[in-house]
Amino acid sequence: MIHIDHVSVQRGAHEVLHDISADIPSGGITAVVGPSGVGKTTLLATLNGLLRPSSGAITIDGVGMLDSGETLRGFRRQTATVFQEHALIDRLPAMDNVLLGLADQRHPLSPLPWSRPMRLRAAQALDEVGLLHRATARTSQLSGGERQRVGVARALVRQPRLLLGDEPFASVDPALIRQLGNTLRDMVARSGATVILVMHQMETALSLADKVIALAEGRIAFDGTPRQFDRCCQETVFKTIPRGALS
Amino acid sequence: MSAALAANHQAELAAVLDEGERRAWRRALVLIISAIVVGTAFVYGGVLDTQRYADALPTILTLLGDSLPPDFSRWQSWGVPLLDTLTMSTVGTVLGALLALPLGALAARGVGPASIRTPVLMLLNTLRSIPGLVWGILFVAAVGFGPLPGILALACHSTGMLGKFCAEILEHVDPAPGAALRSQGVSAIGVLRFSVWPQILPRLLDVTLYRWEHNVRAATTLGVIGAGGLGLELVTAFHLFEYREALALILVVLALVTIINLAGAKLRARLLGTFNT
Repeated sequence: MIHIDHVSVQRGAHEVLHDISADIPSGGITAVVGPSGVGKTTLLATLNGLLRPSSGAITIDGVGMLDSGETLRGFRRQTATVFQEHALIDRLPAMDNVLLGLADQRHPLSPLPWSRPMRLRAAQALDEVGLLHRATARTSQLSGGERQRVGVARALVRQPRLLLGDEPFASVDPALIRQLGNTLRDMVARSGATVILVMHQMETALSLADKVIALAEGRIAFDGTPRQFDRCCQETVFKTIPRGALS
Repeated sequence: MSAALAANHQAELAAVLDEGERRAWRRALVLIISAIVVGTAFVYGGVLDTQRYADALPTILTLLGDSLPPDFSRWQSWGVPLLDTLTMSTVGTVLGALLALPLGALAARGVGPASIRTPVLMLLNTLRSIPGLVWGILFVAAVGFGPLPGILALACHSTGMLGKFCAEILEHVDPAPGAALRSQGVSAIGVLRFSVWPQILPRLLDVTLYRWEHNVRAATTLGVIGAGGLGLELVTAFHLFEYREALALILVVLALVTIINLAGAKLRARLLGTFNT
């Protein structure tokens, strides 16, 4: 269980998230939705420790994420993130970018090439996102959707306990969204992983997620199941809503 | 009210036109002054003095005549000087590249501490501002004749050049893949190894190979000041008025530089195409 306890996050002089509290259950998919600029990406960056809350705390299974450097490192080793802008090294082949997902499991100064079991895992991850045939293609030669899927494969190869996705299905066609959604579902069923996805596609979010958190103006506007969300506030959340109107 | 608005609009229009005209005049003035400066330099340098060309042409033709056909008869004695030239250029380049890497990192904006950046930039500037020949004279005086002063001279100048390139390459590294690695618990050394290194390696090798090609030519020139190699043979041949042998040596240097250039181009294409982690 991830417990977000009265977290506020400042970026420069601007406070992006204001006093957010929520519980994210383990072994399920949580979708974070809301219009652009409400702090979805900031929430995700805070959840993997790339940004520090200006107040409040995040605990995972009762342990404070930022209690010590070792706690954060240990937490990060079990985490994988899919970035909105892919964060791939363009000139490397797709396979090598996926292998970077295993970089923390290899000594940084080792002159040896990636081991065969690691390569096998990377190939399997590429296969899961339907890109095995593009394994040796340079990432710069891939389409936007293919790059996105390489980013997803780099996260899957880690077999993480927590997967954070920042618009992981952006620029991916509907058929592939269904396939990737099934892959995530399988992963959750198989390993009990927790998945938190920031998304724009409401339909996908509602069909895929077990829980929906909607943000508006840096605050939680809705926290519940997709069915509850569907009934109460699908329309409202995507308009500019008065602060606290849905709380 | 509308008349006042129209007058305002007219004034704004006139201001835009005036500013455009001022800029055009400024550009024309800069162009004219530049043309005068360059023209004066042409005259001062004697480039337009046709009489001097008329006098030079027969001398050049005589020299050319005296150089033909090239004399390769002493080719067996060029092996060691050739090796010296290759040693100077290769070791000088490698040494320069090894020193350039940490200095370039310290000189890169946003990489090293800001207080160290300026002194390191000044050091790199000094290293590359002093010509290789001057470094050569200094090191011949310091360590004596032979390839060693040539190696040190080329290493100094190469460190200055490659350090500057290295800093610029590092400043253009995409930080996003590094952030992705940090988010999965990879250490700072791991980020350097798995994100920064694969991004900078091909460009670094590219500029180092260019530098090697340059250093082969520079190593030849260093022979003039006693650093050994083919350059020394060439100067000696000129001093002894052995123009046919000098031409043969020039052709050897030309062949060497061409081979190195072709090898460098092939290596670059290969490295830029297929370098993996």
